[in-house]
Amino acid sequence: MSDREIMRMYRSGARERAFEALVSNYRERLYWHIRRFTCSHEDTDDLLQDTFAKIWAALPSFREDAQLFTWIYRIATNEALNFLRKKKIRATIAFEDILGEMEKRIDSDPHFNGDAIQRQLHKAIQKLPTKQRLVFNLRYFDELKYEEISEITGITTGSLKASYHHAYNKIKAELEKYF
Amino acid sequence: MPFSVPDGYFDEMQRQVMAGIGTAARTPARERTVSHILLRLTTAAAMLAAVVTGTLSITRDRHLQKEQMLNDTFFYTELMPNDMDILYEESSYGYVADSDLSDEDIIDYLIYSGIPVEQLNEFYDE
Repeated sequence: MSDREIMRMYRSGARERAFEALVSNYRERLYWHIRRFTCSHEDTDDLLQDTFAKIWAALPSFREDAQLFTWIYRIATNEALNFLRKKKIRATIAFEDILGEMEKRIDSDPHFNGDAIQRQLHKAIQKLPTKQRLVFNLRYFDELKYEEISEITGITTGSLKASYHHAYNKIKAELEKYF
Repeated sequence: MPFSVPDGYFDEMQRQVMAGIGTAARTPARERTVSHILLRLTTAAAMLAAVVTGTLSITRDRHLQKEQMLNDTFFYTELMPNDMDILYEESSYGYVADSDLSDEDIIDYLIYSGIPVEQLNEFYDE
């Protein structure tokens, strides 16, 4: 079912059925989007459920001059970034190495089934500054256009291109150390 | 993606999400309205208290601040550089603060100038 059909159904009063279709359409895409930030299935599960709860609560105020798809992504992205922010604050207070912990998560993840290159790629992504990581994930994995990423993040396309370029070079340099 | 999820995860997650919104939707509207009103009243009272306290504090300190600002103005005037050699380098006549550009600044400038990212990637790959 398309976004337009979902919203038509929602407006007609079949709100729960429309929302069920929305969850069904977006659950996998949002799961992977969030998981690239958290590197953990359990954290992703919590954030994904929070994301859908927020979407449900905010749907009555959704203005249809924006795309449903970018609006949903923006809510999921905010959830992921807030999670990282809180994690960073906790790590700073406890003098923990957040990057080391993320690398450990990738190494010990029972759900990781990729090869050595993919493991290093994901570790390299974790080393990027948040903005570069966000742009790289949305462009490289989700294959979104710069204009769509701009709508989600509120960052200009020029700045997004610059961030992607820096991210690309840093990941390339990181992978060259190993392969 | 090189990651997997537990078997049946997405269906189970969707079931939990729908159960969650079902619970919220079944909560009696009256109960929710009363708790929302109480929450709003408490928030409004707290904000009012904060505003009153802030206003009193600002009024009390304003007189002291004016006096302090006057003293500071005279003090910092003495410290301001007025010699042009301090602000500009003789050799280039460039402003000192502009002289240290990083690679990232240059790349940002090139991208804003319309150079495609792919072309820059090729250039830096060489």
